[in-house]
Amino acid sequence: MSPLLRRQAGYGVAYITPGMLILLVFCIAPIFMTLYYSFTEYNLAQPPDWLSLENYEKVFTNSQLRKAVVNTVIYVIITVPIQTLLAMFVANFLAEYLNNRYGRFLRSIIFIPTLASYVAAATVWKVILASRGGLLNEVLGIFGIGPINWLGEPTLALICVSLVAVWKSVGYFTIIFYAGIMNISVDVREAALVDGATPRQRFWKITVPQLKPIIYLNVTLGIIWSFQAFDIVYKLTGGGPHNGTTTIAYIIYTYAFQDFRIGYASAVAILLLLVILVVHLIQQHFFEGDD
Amino acid sequence: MIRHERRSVRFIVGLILVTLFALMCVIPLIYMILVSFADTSTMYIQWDDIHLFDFSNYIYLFQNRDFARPILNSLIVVVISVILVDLVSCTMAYGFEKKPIPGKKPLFNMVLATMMIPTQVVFISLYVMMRKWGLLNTYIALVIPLVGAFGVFMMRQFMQSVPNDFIEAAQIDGCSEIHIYTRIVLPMVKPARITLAVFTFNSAWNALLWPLIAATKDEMNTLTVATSSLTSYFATNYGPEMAAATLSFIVPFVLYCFMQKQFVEGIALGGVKG
Amino acid sequence: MKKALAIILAAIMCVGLLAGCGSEPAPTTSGGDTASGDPVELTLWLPIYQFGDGISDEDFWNGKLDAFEEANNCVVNLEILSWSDYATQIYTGLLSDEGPDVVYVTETYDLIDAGLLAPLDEYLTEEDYEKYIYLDQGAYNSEGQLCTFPMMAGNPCVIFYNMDMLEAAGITELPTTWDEFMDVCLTLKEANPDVWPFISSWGATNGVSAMLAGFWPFFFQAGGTVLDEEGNLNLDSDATLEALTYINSFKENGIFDDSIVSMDDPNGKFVNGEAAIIINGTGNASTFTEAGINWQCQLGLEGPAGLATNMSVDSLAISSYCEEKELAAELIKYITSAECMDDYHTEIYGMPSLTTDATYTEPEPFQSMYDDYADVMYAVPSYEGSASFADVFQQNVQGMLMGEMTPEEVISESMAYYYDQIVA
Repeated sequence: MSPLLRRQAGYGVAYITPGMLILLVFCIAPIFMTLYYSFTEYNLAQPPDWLSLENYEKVFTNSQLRKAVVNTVIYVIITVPIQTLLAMFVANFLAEYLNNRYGRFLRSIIFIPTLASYVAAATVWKVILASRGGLLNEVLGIFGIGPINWLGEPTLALICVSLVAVWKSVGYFTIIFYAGIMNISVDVREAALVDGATPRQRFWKITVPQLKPIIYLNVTLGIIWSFQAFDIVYKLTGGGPHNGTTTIAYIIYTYAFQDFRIGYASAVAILLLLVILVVHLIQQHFFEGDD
Repeated sequence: MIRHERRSVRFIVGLILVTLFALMCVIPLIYMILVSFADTSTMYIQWDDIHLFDFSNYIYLFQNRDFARPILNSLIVVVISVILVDLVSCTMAYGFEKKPIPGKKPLFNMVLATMMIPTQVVFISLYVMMRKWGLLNTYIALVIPLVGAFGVFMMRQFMQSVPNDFIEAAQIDGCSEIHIYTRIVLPMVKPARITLAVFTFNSAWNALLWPLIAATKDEMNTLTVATSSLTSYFATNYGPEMAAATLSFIVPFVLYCFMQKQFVEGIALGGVKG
Repeated sequence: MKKALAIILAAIMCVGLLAGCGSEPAPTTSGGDTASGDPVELTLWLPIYQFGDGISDEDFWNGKLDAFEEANNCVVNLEILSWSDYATQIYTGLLSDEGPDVVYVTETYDLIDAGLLAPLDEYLTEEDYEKYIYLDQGAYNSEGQLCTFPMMAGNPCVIFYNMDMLEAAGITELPTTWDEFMDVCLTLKEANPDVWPFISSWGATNGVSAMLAGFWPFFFQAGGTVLDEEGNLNLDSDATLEALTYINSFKENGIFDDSIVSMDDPNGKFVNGEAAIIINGTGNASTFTEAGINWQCQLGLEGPAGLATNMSVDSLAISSYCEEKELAAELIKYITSAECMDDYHTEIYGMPSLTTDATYTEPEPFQSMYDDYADVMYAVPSYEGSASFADVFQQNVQGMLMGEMTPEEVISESMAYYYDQIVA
């Protein structure tokens, strides 16, 4: 290595060291600490007690957790495709057909729910979805429907929770897809138009394939985020009724920070990490196999 | 520009659907703001109960529930985290992108891999750690988890667009390293830094889980947590709850009105460039 | 592949880091500097009890504590806590170095089990046991030492009736047995289908509050005991089954509709005249009066095992790290003395008096209840994993009220979960 290069490398190390230290201490080290705790019993008051695999044995017989895993998977299955497809359709329409002031206005409106916190979103949706006197049931009542107990029935409550999450995040993805579509070169789109492709063909044959890397990134992010759904459940349903909306992340919170069973909660958290990794690998395979 | 037959039925239907969709996006929030002005004690909210510009619910929050404190906490957390994230992300991104660090690829991949880790896995031990070090209920604890790989990842994308020739020319001119970084590189990525700041602002302002855990004392609650814990007081009087939710929403909203370009471009670039 | 490599690299770096963490000495507590003659500081945590418009908890106690501070040359730092996640706040507070010296506790098992509360025996005298009526209802550690000092003992869950609604339905006499109660509910439902005849809190945000008014009164009326002689949870009993079957019959008779499981504010319904009957703590009576509800109340129903209900015993405790335990004990005795409590009960929250010399009496009909029925008011003891168990139990009862589980299944699944997951 030349002295000049060596000096540059030295600078480089100096640039990344503080940040790397922060990440190592506050992000990477905790991962391994949690892994360690997952093999122990730890209530914060007494030192961790080595249990070997006992927590994991309990994890696999925990009926509440099994329900939470199922709920989380359903939540992901509802939110990720809907928010992706909906965002893509809306973005496509705005980019292709409504590229004017009104379109840009709509685009800025659609983004607004993203600004609100899940707490604010859940606070207002709880009132809207209330079975007696809620806005939605009042409106449906005009048409002679209902009243429907949106949050009082496990399956329906889970669907509502998922859809509120979609409502909150779809604007974010719309913006991304909009930018992606605008990035597709005009030539490509013009060519398709000249070929006489129908709008539907253009969307599926030109736009979607061109967007593939963006779709991949955002489905990946969407899945990772959705698997960690906590805020919305915490505020909207508290995991009920009858564990109908308990998610893995919510369980981890209650085990770790309400019951202070740090060891057991860690085991569940590691399980969540594994689930995400597996889903990620499957998804990667799926996207690659598509080529 | 692509031309379309503007009046086709397909277009009209699409226009109506997208407009309805946009309405769906904002109606709940408008409803939230309206109810925050309502004086109601039952679940059945009447339109007559809503008196715009009657700020009694807001006054209640500040007088009886000390909402000034959580707002101040949230602002402090936001300011510190925006500065810290900017500092860490820019320096790391510059180092990773422009400097010949041995083994930088695996190192950078490791940083990237942390984006996959669910926050719960980190938070459990981070909590234990913060407790051991006596950092719970401090602003440091509230800010630390906001520093993450995302900012580094994003800034590195933008650092790529800084031409190496510029840096080399400056080096030949005899500029010091610090000078090159602060006077040449940082100004060139300024738009990206603003975008990152907007991002950090939004996630710091809206965070719930970590502040819920790390602030065990009411006086350290952020606005989100304070809003969230209001429920236990008035389950039927929605006014104060909605006022708190409105307060937490209005700050990012106002910012969005003024900095829409940065919001939108930032998200677009972050999501598209990856 | 690269990512795997990166993770391995990270692992190596972290092992070193962890080793560093492990060898770190335990944090030293900052010693109180009492030698210099500065006043001793005590931190006191109490929950908010002023739910009305009167003097705030903070102002009330700061006024009262002045005398104590002067007499003992000390400073009491008061913090009033909100009820949201109260048990969590206490647990994390007691674990940290800056937590309270004297603290108001509700669920005590975990705190005592983790050694966070100091035994009080050496600070208590014979006279204290004579003076403080509820002292024997405190919680004990495994060595039989008293660890908590009752401060709020009472607030039994009683039945409130909206008499206007009962009269409108032609009901003139309050029911006394389970069957009569069910008949009254059915009559109310027929008379006014738009309101809830009887409402319960099965949608509460946590199991402990759900069971408080929703389950325990019926459980004790069915003759249940929470713990067996060895102190193990004893809910796998006929009393539980009878209570659950009765609760389930509200669902079967159409008294509870589906939204009962997402009902997180039954009190509001009663206040707004949307429900005719509610079971709740006596402390809520003033809220109902203020709302203009024409209510009457009775202690409870006569179940299979006779009249009974539950009450709560919340206490003060001293943290084990407190450096001035003697003074802390004095503070507890001062707070619970008639000097403070008489005013507290009048101005902040009404509860039965704690000491023999107190003059405060609860408004009627509650004072007579305490006088006449003290022996059928049972306190629910804190047991291992009580909060987690209550959550699971609540979720299962929700399942029962949605017709997905039988009472038997609620018991067997809850108990299985308790033994497999909570205390295993």
